[in-house]
Formats: sequence, structure tokens, C-alpha cells
Amino acid sequence: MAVTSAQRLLEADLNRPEFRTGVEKCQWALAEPVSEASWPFVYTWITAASRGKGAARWLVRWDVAKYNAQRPTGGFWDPEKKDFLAGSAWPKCQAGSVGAAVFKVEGWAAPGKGFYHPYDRLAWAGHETQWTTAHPQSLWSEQNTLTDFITIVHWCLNNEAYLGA
Amino acid sequence: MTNDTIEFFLHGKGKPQVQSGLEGESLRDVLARIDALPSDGELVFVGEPDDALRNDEGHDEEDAQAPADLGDTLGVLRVRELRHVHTRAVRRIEVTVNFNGKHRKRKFSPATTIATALAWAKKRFKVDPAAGADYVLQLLPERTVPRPEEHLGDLKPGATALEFDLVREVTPQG
Repeated sequence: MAVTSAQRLLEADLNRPEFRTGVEKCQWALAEPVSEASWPFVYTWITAASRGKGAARWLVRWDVAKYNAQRPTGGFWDPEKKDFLAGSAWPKCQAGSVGAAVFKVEGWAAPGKGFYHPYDRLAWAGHETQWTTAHPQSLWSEQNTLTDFITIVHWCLNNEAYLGA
Repeated sequence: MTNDTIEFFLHGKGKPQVQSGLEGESLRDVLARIDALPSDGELVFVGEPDDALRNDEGHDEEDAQAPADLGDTLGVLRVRELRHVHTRAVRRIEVTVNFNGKHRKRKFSPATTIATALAWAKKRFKVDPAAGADYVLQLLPERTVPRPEEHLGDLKPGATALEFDLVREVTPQG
């Protein structure tokens, strides 16, 4: 299978300082190299604050089809079952926090399969009008990179509202 | 040792970029080779200072970071460890943060990150950590929310003052 322009674009973005700085600060890392065999799926570890219970890092599978003209979508991943992590095992955050919304696993169209955020393709569907008004700073464009989305997830896993698993 | 190649992240010349130089090469030669030398009055900083997190109020009005000597080598400047080189920079950026009708000011190095400025602002406004978990710095007047690892000097190159509101990030709903 040939490397697509979307894959080349993603690899260029992952080589930029924004992603590499996070790797060097142990905030996130590729779980495996980007490859044609896995495309359009990309796997990253994202580090979480220590909360006693809860993983030190979470595996996220990103679907980056048509990157980056199209929004990515991602979710926490169980590498043994090769499926999304069960909703009950997703990270928890204080009720009402941004993290609790982004990681919510019920009450929307794709619970446990995407992040409830304007950057996420699955969450965006059906919220176009509402979120265009409510989240003018979080509207995906071709200026965005996967690192922007990873940054959001990392922030949710590391601010004071994060509770662990 | 002097022939080892060091990769670093260059700020101040468009979007941050990955560059490299030899450990024994002077910073001036490296910046000249990549067309990133500062003009008269502009400075270069190496690293990301976090003085604002370590100093007590009353003894914390300004970052202490000194500009790099362009004649020093990448090795002497510890670029391998510090990683970030910020060129064409002003000496200090006066940051004003607004919160609940009050204001706090501090002079930061342009190489300071948003994460550091945010932590400083929460500390100065005595924001309860749990209650302030979702707080972010919103740049004025654009109302954009810079990423935590962005450098203050990258937001508006050449600016000597920046103003932010400390606000709660909007929660996705609907």
C-alpha cells in the first residue's frame, strides 16, 4: 500500500516541535510508528497525573483518515482486546469539568468511541451549529494538527479535575 | 565532543521548527546558517525559564533569564539539555492577567511558556486548585487560548506586552 499524502502530512506534523516537545517532556509518545499497514489508525500514549488509582499513561487510538482536511476521532484503547476500552474503565474527572465532558461515555452518539469535543469527528456530527457558536476557538481547520487534539486530552488527564480510573 | 550534532527547537522565525548544529559551533554561526540571526536590539534566549513558579510574591517581579551570548557554543549554552532557542526576541514581555475585576502584572522572558504563566496567575490570584482546574489564559483581544507549551514570545512576535483573561475553559455540551 502506498504512503498517502495524508500520512506524509501527519508524519511531518509529528516531527514538528509541538509534538516532539511533548515527547521530550514525557507528556505523550507514539505507541508504535505510523505505518501504511495501520493507516488510518495511529496509536499514542498520553501521560496522566498520578491519582493513586488510574494508569500512569493511557493508550489512545486515533482515526486520522483524510488528515487533516477531516477532523480526527479518537478513544481510549485496549491493546489486548484490540477494541475501545470499556466505558467503565475510561478515566474519570470531577462532575461538571471539561474532562468529564470530553471523556463522557454515555448520552451522546458515539460513547466510548470518541472524545466529546469539537475537534472529534464523531462528536462534531450533529453539533455543527451549536458548537460553532459555543466553541469558536475549537473549530477544526487545516491549520490544526493531531498534536492540538492530543494536547486537549493530556490537559484533561493532568489538571486538578482528573480523578484517575 | 565538538562534532556531535545537536537538534533544537527554534522559536522566533515563523512557526517553531526543528534545527540542528554542532556542539562546538557558535550560536551565531548556527543562526546565521539558518537565516535566524537577531537584528540590532533583538535578543536570543536558550531554555524555558520557570522563575515565576519558584519565587515568592514580593520577590518576583521579573524573570532573571539573561540573553545568550552569541559567541558561545551550543555546548556551553547547554542547548542539548535546554532544547529551545528563541531568537529575534524582546528582553521582557509585561504580562497582565485579569480575573474577577482584578489585575496582576509581571515581566516574563519571551521564552517562558503559557503553562508557567498560567500557574503563576493561578497562584497570584489564589485560585483554589480544584475550583480552578479548568482555568486557561485567554489572549486579548483575540480571545484565543494558546497551548500550554507555547512560548509567550511566539504569540505576538516583537510585542513587549500581552494581556490575558483568566477564564474557565468552555465545557462541550449539547
